[in-house]
Amino acid sequence: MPVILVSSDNQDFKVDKEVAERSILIKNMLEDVGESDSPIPLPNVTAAVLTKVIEYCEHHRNDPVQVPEETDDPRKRSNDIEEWDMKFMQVDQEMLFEIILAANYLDIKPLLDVGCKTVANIIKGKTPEEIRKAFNIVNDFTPEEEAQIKKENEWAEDR
Amino acid sequence: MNTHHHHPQQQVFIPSDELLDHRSVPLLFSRFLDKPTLLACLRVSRSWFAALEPCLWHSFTLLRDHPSPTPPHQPRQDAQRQQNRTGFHPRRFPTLGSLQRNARHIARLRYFGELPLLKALVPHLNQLRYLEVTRYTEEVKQLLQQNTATLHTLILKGDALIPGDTILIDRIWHHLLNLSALRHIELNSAIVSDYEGTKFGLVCHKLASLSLIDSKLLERPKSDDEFLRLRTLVLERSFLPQEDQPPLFELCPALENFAWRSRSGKLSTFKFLIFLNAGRGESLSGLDLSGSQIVDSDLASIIRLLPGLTRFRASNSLFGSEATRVIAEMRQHQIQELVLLQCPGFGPMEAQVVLTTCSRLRMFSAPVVNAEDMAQLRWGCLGLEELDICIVGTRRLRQTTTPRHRGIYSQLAVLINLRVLRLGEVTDMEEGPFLLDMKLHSGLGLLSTLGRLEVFDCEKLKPVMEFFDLQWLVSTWKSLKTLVGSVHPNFEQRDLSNEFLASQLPNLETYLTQAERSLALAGR
Repeated sequence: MPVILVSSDNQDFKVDKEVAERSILIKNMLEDVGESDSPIPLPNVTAAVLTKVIEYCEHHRNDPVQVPEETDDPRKRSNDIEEWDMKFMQVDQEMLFEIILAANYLDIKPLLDVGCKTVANIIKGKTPEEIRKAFNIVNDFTPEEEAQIKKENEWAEDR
Repeated sequence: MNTHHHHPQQQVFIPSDELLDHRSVPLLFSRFLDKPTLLACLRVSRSWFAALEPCLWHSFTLLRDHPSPTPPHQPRQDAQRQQNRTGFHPRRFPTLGSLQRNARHIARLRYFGELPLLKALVPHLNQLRYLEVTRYTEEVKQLLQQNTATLHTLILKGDALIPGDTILIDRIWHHLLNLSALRHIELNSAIVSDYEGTKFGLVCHKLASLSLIDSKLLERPKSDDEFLRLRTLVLERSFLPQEDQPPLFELCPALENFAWRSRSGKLSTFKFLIFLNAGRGESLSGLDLSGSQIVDSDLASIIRLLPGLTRFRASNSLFGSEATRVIAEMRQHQIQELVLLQCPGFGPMEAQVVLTTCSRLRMFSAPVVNAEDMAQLRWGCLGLEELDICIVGTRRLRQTTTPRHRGIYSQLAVLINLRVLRLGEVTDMEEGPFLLDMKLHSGLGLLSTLGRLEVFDCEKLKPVMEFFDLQWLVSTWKSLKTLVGSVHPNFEQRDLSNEFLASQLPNLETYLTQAERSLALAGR
């Protein structure tokens, strides 16, 4: 049975229920309401972003439910990304951030993880200036402030 | 997927209208950042700094070699003298102001030593979830009182520099009762002198895991007590009343992991088997009897009575052919971890049986594997991810093939899922030095299939790797993160080799010995 999702710019997306329920938010909504044809508005997700999210969910519709990682140690967490996901995430920085926010809002953990890993892999090993260039971020620190932060947190470099 | 414009009056669902903000994105991906990248991100912009600074402090370790930092008012000369005297380097330690400002973000604190700094921080540490300390001091008592709703793990380790520092559980058990979120305890050198009075049982009722190391339980728990939530019980070198055998096990019907690791005590196998036979072992999937003096036939009986066993450790024990037979005949399609280091009764023949029959084996550690068996092995466990073996009898291999050790290397090469490989060779003095030299002309190139290898430990192998062998290593094992052991017997060559490796694989950590690596990991 299809489900209708409505983006913030009022575009409808007809999607298989199984695909839509990759979003825990949508899944819970559907369970609460039961059988209904009513569309589901997603006021914080634009059509462009929702298109990408749905593409991801359709590709991964048969994936098993992800087991939560038990470690909060980044050293033990893997930043590996599958090839299809890697190509899927080859978007501009704006879209990348929008996908992360949408995945967080819609509670699609695998998509959130892939988005976050993609960003982490992009910025790994880069200097602050290189990170700013990669994401078009303006440096709003004074040179003195930036130096102070670097000095104050030198201790963490050894840990 | 169909799309068309939507008419607002058809809306029924009203999902959350929580505003999404690009400033929250750094917080979302922060958990995938390593420390150097996190530090760089702090300096990107003000909003990134505000979002990410708490992440830097989430987990914090204070070691005994970090004395109190220089207060801001202290003259520079005094600070320099202090640095020269104590070896304290300000760069390695956060400022007091920074500590006090950010202590509220610390959720995971490891604190070792007698540093007076903790006193200054205690009032700010109100969000602790994990606390690991060496001594039960007034400050620690206060932390327990301040974090009753959040603390879920408490580790009280004895301090190796202060032997005989015993934690009397009598003093802390009442405080532990108040910790509503407490689920995991590890205690070193603990004594429970009075079971009823100390509320030991009441605390155990809410725990998911309990570890007692070098501890003494002087009074038997009540026989009608049952610790229904306890899933993991570790007893290492701990003494319990003679009549309380098996130790605490009978009170834990839902136990999934049990470890009795003792060099001095002896587990009453007979009583243990009685309880297992009564169905108590049904939920048990992990068992560690390392250092126990249980005979091979009893180990076999124990394994027979554990239908859910997937992880078994019995290093430094009498594990031998009988227990191996039970594994191969009854547990061959479920056992995933088998660690049997320093088991004199577990020889090459037993190792071969395990490697050819246990189809789901992911981790295997054994004293020796025969080189000739290895060369002809038909692996039953192609999904192996961690392998720790020593090869014996290399010199007796017929040297008719080229490369010289093609048989052994080609066998290892089929284990394409290996992430950890610890390889050694056993020879006696009459046979001469090691032969497995990890050289391309000896067959090293055959290991190009090990593309997922993250840890390579050749401490027990003592290889002789030259420049082209190392060049091959860095271009082939790109996932390698840790190298343990010396890749060349000559010190200078070894240092140059490590420099070369570090330049090619920047994330690679090198250690001379496994002990050195364990120390480094413990200090983090």
